Amino acid sequence: MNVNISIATVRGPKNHRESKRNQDAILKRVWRAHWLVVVCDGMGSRPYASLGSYLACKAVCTTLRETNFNEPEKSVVKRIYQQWLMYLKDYLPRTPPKDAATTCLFAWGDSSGKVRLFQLGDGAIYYMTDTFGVNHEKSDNMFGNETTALGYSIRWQDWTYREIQLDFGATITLMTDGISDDIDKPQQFLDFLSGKFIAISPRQGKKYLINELNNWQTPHHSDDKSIGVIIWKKQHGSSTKE
Amino acid sequence: MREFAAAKPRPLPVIILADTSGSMSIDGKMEALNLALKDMLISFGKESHLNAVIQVAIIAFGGENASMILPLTSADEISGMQDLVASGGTPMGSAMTMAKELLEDKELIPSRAYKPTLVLVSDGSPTDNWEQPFAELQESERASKAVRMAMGIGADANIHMLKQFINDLETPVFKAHDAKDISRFFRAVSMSVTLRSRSTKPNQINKIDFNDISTDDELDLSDFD
Repeated sequence: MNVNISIATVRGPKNHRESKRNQDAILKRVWRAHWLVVVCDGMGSRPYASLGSYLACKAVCTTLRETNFNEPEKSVVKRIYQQWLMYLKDYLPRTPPKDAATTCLFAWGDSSGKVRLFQLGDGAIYYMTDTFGVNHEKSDNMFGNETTALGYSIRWQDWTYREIQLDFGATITLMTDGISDDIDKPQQFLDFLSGKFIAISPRQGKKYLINELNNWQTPHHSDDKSIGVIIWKKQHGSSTKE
Repeated sequence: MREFAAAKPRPLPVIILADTSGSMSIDGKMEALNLALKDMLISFGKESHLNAVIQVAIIAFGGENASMILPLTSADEISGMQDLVASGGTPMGSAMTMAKELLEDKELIPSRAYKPTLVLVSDGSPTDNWEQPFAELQESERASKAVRMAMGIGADANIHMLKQFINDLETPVFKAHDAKDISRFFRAVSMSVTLRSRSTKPNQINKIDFNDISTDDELDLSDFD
């Protein structure tokens, strides 16, 4: 499939100093006819945040591998949520889900360039097709680290869902709030990523991202940071052998 | 890529609403409050292990209307503070309106800021209409998210009103009987804010146990509501 996906996650300086785990999790999969990128941010105030984010990535992957790409969005979310709760029950039978609360952002695409974007909680998904877009605009009335999450909300209305169509060079990036809350100019940021990642391999992309995240320039930043960058390299309407 | 990251750290705003009515001139209350505020500013300015930058604003309410004595400023950029002077009535409602406007100002307090802290200090009862401004503060989606703490100074402080003001039940209204108590309260505020600014979870509010704040003279628990 003509899609390049680079992902990276790094522990924030505070968790690093205190030898605590990265509470973010990130995953990418490219199957025969579909691809997937998931970014989850375990809520730091919760005791099993890192497990929650890991299991959320796993739940999205397991569920979507077995799900028809045209399944209604609400049904997709419901199946993922149920899978996450099942995993949690297996790992921590007596732990309430809120103790493993995590945000959940994912992009699920097919070989025609159609992409379904899902988001619960903070962080951001930016995309550049023929125009620039943001999947979910954070309310001005919120402050830093205010979010909803799997384990807190079971309301469909708390999710943001969008479908987009990619053409050659289109770019999507998903990131946790450790990055998005520090980005002042999202469109320029995505423009830069688009120019950078069109010319490098996912392996080079990962190396580059890890270096950039480990040298983040916002003073006193502390959060774990995770990002996925997707570059679509196929003309809309053209056919390729899978 | 990193050049797109904000060049400034996330702010953690602290807004002080300080009673400067005429009654504050009695028993050295005003002098004690000035000293305690200066100590707090020095304490914030010295913090170096932060995950946020502490910003402070001071709104004084005495006389006819409240006034912004110190606009919201990063603590490490504050070189000093003019002494507050006690006079006139207690226009607390005016101070609440000013605080609400500041909390709603998205330029001064951006969305990437951590939840602000609003600290109310008073030795008496409001002399203006405070109920309506307070209701508007509570109804504001943004301003209502601030953590609200309060200290009543002396026997005439309207504790009933201050109890309505606070929104963190784990941090009760503090009753100050003398200058040392005023200092003690602000040390507790400094400790709470500093802990938040060092935390990986600055929006999580730390329970304040005023008994943990060291002092030469012990107070018994009946001093606290």
